[in-house]
Amino acid sequence: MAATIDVAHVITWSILISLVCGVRVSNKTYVEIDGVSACFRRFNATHQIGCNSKASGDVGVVYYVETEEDINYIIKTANQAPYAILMGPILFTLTNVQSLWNSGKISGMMVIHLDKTPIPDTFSPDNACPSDQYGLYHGNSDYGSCTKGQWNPHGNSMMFQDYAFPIFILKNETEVDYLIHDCFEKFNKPLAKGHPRDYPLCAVELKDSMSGSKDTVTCVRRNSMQVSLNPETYCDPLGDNNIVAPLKAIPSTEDYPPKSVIVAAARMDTFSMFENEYPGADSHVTGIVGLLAAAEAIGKVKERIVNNTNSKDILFAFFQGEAFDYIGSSRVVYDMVNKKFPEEPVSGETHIHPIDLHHISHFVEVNQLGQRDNGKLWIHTDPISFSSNKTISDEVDDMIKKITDIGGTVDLNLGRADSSKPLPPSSVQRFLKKRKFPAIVITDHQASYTNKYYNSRFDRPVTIKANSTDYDTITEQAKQLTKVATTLARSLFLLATGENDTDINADVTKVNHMLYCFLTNKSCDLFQEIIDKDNLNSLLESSTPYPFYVGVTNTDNHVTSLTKRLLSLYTGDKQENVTESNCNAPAKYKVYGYTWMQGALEPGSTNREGSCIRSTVSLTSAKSPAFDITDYDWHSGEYSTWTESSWRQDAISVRVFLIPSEQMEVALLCSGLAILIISLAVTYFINKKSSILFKTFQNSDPPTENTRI
Amino acid sequence: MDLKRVSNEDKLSLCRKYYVGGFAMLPFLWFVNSIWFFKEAFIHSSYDEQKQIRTYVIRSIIGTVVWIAILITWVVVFQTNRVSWGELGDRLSFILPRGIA
Repeated sequence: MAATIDVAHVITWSILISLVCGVRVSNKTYVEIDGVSACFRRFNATHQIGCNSKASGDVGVVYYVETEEDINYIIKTANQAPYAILMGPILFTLTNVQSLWNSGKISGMMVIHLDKTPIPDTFSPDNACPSDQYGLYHGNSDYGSCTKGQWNPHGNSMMFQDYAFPIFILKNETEVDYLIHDCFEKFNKPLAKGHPRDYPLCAVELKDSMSGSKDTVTCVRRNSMQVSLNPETYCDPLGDNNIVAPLKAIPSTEDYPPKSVIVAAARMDTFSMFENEYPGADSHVTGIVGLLAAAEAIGKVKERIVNNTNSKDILFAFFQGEAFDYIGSSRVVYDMVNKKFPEEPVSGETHIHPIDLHHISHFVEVNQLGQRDNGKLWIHTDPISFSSNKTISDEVDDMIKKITDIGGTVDLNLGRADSSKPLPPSSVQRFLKKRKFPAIVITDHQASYTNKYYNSRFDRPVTIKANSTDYDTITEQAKQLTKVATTLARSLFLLATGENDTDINADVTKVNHMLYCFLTNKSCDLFQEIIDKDNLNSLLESSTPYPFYVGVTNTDNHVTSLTKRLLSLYTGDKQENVTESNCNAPAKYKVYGYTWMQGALEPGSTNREGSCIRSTVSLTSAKSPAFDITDYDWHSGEYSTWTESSWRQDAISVRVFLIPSEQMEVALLCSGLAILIISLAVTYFINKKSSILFKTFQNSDPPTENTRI
Repeated sequence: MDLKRVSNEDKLSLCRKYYVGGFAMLPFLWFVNSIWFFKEAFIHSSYDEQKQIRTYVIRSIIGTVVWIAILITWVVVFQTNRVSWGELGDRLSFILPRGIA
């Protein structure tokens, strides 16, 4: 008998334990969606752009819209609002977003962003006339505001809208399928026209809560007004570093004649509406790789420039933050004017001779190079400086003739864009604002952009035919870009020395490797070779390319440091008999920088032979002068004022759960309240009648003063 | 402190202290005074000091009401105008809002 009871006990207890064993209620209620990127807030001096949700997140019933008709259904008929709209990228247009939002039935949006998802034929969230306000032609009645033609006709300005609701992109196929099939179709999809489903419905909570608000002026002020013990930032200025390398390395102690530097420039960054989705294949990676490959070709013959006193210097410059109203180039101009470029002179130290605007003799900028117009590239000029001065126009004509001729010898077709048309958006505009000199911009379009995905999340390697699955397969884009780099290298060499050397050639393997590393797989051999041990782990974490977004000034930009290393490798010299620990610049002689690279794997082993590279490559600030000038007039429109909102650790999340009907919620609340009131009444009654159960003693001693106060 | 156990003289002195203290921009003392001595002033059977206590309590109540009116007005004015005051609004805030202007 006793044994039976024991067995019964054990069974009962084990059932009880298995029933209560710890799954948290939140885990049973919510399904987290992790593969997302949020649209977040940014500010300039007058506006806020981007998305924001309530601090606790915005909840909506998931509705997957597949056609315009579904959108109309939501706007006109649907009655289970608020809805969180799930859609493909083709329906994600400014018109649809606005009409959905204006219906008042929307709490947020999710846009599917998988590699296989069909994408729109054209999409650019940038303006039709990018960065016009901060360019050379702002306020010019002949050339300003793209009066001669929009550069980016597909630009829909979606980036620059202020959305009062959260928008996410979904990047994980399993999760997208879950949302469509297990959430929307199972619970929410109307069974027939006009017959919405019964509760419970599948809902999503979209949390995208930004800290900053209003504009840069407000949030910069709030950053400086911290009274709390745990200071928090509200926004951070966009910015990073420019990469610059004067080939000749003339020390500050020597003479540096005016008009003796040819600037060869490219831009480093792009943007899109969503965090970490900045592929920028054509927007600027083609330009970076093109210029790096040209630097590599010139690096092989650089002694002939460096040791030739009559030769001009070549300054390679990669500007950061250009997509946000020319942050990098405007800072370089500001530093040049203040004699602080490339670095501020420190007394008692020898450094590179400061370079000023009057040192510049020519300016060659490469822009988008990937979407060539029937195989052709176009050379653009500035009509204002061209028509202002005979010397400049002659030099521009001469420069274009030289480049076009050299292009002809390597089978690269270069055309000259209409010289009455203004320059496309380019860094050189910021220089020409201050001083006129011969300047050209080489790019892949004659009039409007051939790139249909300018500054967008669709500017992917596949659209410029630079996608390859392995490191060593030479892509079509690499072959074409090599021709451009060769032309560029020979032209720069000719402009500097006056010699036309047909032995200068860019290396197609290197071009291909750079494209592969920047666009497809960041943990490729090339990047592993040039990096040092400290940064290796971040490189090997995943193959996903580093984002080409300028970022905020207080974080490291991996693309900048890798580009700096590549440029050092290509234009610098390997130092013999130097170890990693003494790969440093001498104390008082700062003309050269020293960079340690861990080197290639030795065949058949895991050893690497590292090397110390001495080069003139240096980083200069790419923070808008607006944030460094005391009492800067924020509304002057002189410098970029972009900042990015901060957000807390837990401010961005997406999770799915079931919601009951409103009646159900009210019923639950009421029954809860009823139970509360009943239990209060019962307690009161029991307390009142407690003397029946418990014998009470009357305590006659009065309480002391101490206990009563 | 239980007022039942305090002598009437002490009650008056206590009530007076709270009343006078309220003038030092401490409206909460008036508020406490008006609640705490309300019964003494208006409900309990009369005694010598009651008249004086009643005066203090009535004045404390008036003071409390005036202060509440001032504070409510200020809160309404501040909350409705904080954004348009810009920098002044931020300087007058102890906790700066996140995500809203």
